[in-house]
Amino acid sequence: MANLLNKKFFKEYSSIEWILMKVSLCFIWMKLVTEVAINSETIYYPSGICSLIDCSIFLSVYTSSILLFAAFILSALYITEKYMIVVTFLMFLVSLLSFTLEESNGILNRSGLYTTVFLAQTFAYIRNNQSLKVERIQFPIQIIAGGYFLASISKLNQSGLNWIIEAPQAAIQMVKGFSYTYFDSGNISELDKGLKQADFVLKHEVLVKLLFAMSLVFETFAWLAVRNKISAFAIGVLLSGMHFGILYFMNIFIAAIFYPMIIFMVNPTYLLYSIIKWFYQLVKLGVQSSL
Amino acid sequence: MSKYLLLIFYVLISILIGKEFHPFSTFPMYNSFPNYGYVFFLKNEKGEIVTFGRNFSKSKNAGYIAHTFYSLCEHYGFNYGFGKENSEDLKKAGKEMLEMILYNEDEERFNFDSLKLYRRFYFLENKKLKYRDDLMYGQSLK
Repeated sequence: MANLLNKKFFKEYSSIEWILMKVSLCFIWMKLVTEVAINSETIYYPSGICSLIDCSIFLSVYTSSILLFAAFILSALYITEKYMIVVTFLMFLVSLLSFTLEESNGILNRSGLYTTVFLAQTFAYIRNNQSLKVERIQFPIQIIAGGYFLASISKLNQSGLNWIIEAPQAAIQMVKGFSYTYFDSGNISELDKGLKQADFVLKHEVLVKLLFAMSLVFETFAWLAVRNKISAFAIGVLLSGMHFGILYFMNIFIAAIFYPMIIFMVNPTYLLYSIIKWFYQLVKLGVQSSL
Repeated sequence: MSKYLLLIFYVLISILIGKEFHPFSTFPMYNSFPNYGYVFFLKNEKGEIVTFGRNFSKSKNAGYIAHTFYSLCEHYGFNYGFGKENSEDLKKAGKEMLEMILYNEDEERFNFDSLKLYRRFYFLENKKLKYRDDLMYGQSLK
């Protein structure tokens, strides 16, 4: 536990921390890119770069396979820290193409943060100064924090404070989320669960307004995460709480936004590693003292 | 480089573009809680629910179908939301959505002869949750 609490932990990013961050990022990225490669069948509504160039050539089995193979090789090079300027830029391009194909299928998963964190890292590696070890993480955090800040601006611009006042109407979104699961699985208990959650919200308006006000504050001040490692961790924990709340009440999980945020700000795999390491040391000390 | 430079760039460019242009977005999801919510579902000739998960490819889930409805309405400039779509627009959207659902599916293995696409319209009335089901489009498969 000392490792978790010492000053170094809160100021610097260790090598193992950085590697575990990259492994987590690539694991999720590969999963998302694979899903797009398998599921993109045609271009229904050309958007982004697909509105400028003909992206249908990327829909064939061959081009999808090449794209997936490229993503796999790039992930391996990224984790092993090879040719980082070129690799991070190519990962940005693969991401840009994959997720634009997904959006051109009418599925708006808003994976923009995932794509842009690679470009932010390209900038950090081009600069390649003494602060590289911090900037390759802090630059992506700037993009992620920007995304949450934009979400807050969007809410305030569209609804103003009515976003909080009308929060109980989120009961509709809650039952909608659970209805999706019902019509996917046929499991009626999912629909019942949604109706119960909606009923709870309609009966506890003040509590719901308070929770929504808190989440709006978290998003509005997400930019504080760029200050240093401690603030990134604190904001990351608060935003994670917000996402888990959305998942519990609305059955909605915004994967493409949640994953880059938790990986760069909280880095749960490193937290797990640190706890296991601390526990191992504790056991080792116990064994030594008993001898 | 300033600690905030990339953040400022990303926010400003996204606001200037003002629409979805990957990787830029204004992240408008749930930026308001209007008094309506749509869910789309299928029924067979017997009036039984045809689940997406058991009958179609993994990607064609209820969430995906809902996304396509909004993209389609934006694409054609339909006036949508609050259950106000006219029956003509609803039918046109339903036809295209059903085509998307059936695209690249092996219809031979279906254990139903026809499909009807419905839209469930959830809304609040006197603080009570209510819904209405509207038929969008029906199609025979055999």
